[in-house]
Amino acid sequence: MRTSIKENLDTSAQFETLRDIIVGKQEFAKEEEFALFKEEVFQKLNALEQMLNDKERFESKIVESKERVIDVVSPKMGKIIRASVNAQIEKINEKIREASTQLSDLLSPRKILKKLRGKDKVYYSDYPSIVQLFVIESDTGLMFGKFEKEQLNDPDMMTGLLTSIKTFAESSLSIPDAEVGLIDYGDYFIKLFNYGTYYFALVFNGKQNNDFENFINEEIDAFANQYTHQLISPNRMSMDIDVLLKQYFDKTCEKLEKK
Amino acid sequence: MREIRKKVVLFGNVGVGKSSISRKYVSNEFSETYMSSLGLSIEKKVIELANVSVILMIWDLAGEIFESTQFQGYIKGAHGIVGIFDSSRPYTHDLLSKFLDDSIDCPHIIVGNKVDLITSEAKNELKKKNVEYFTSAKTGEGLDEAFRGIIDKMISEEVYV
Repeated sequence: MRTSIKENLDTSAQFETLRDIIVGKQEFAKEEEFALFKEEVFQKLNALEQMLNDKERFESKIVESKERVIDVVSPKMGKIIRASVNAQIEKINEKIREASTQLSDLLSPRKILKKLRGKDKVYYSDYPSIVQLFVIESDTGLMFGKFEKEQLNDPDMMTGLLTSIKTFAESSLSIPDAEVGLIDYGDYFIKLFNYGTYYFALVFNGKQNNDFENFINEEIDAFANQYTHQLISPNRMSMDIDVLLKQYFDKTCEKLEKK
Repeated sequence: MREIRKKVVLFGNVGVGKSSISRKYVSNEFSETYMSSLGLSIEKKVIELANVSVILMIWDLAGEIFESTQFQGYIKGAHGIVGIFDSSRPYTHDLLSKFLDDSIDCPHIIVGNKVDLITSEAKNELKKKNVEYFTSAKTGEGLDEAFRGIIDKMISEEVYV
């Protein structure tokens, strides 16, 4: 329990000391004058005590002078505040980075294509498998023949578009003997094997690796060597080439499945 | 039935109506694929003749592509070229005609499009400049005749026997 100021000043010596502090040393002619003066001092002390104990008034005083408080406090608090603010900013940055990564993934052309096609298969981890193989005349983009495990698009349109992309890239870059080798096509990759007047376009899914690359290079080279005459003949028929491709590359697919 | 494939290139100045002709003729039988970054679209049209099925792969080049480095690559190997001009803008014919005569050695025809916009007198004037085919992509007039004309020039007569 709190004690009043009056109770704490009941000794004469203490009161005299207090009087000296507040009003300085004074001489009183009569005992009555001193009593009046003492009463006046107690009234002032009580008023001061009341003011200090008046929480609302004290708070309002602080609020009124808050800017001055900040002026005084902020230099000392600055270091603490800056550390706290930096920590919060770092947390926000981390959130932004996470959101940015998610957004990039969401806007990835590959993933958009997958969504549009309604497919959500994992293909990167798969060993490559053949989807289509076209033999295409280099200059015209016309199809000599096709082998299809799965039909993705009209083959004639496909070979025309591939050739236009190839022509565009090779003529735009102006690099001597530069040829397009690999095209990223949605869920698939298209690998081009350039020969003289024709080229092969292999559409495959899965992640390309050295083993697959060596294997498929050998297979296509072997086919091209074995059937060169049929491929470059002006009287070739695409249906005949289709048969040759099927006979040969069905076996290739079987070999790939065993890998 | 035997299939033969032919590459036909359409080209001409900007705004003469190449793409309109191509779209009207093909009638979106196969999806048209226009690639603005490449400056061309490719379409496919199958024409059944007596004993042969002719698959036309039509490369429709943007007008701007004419002066690009890709132009020679795009027309390479073409079996036929259809040069198109705007009949209502005769100067588009003169540029085209000179280029075809000087630079192209494969079968080709010149087509005056937008014939619906010119008078019969203007058409006669163009005929005097050896324009054989007139079309209107708007009405479809003359389209079959023009493409049959280039097919005839590309394919020898014995195919039809």
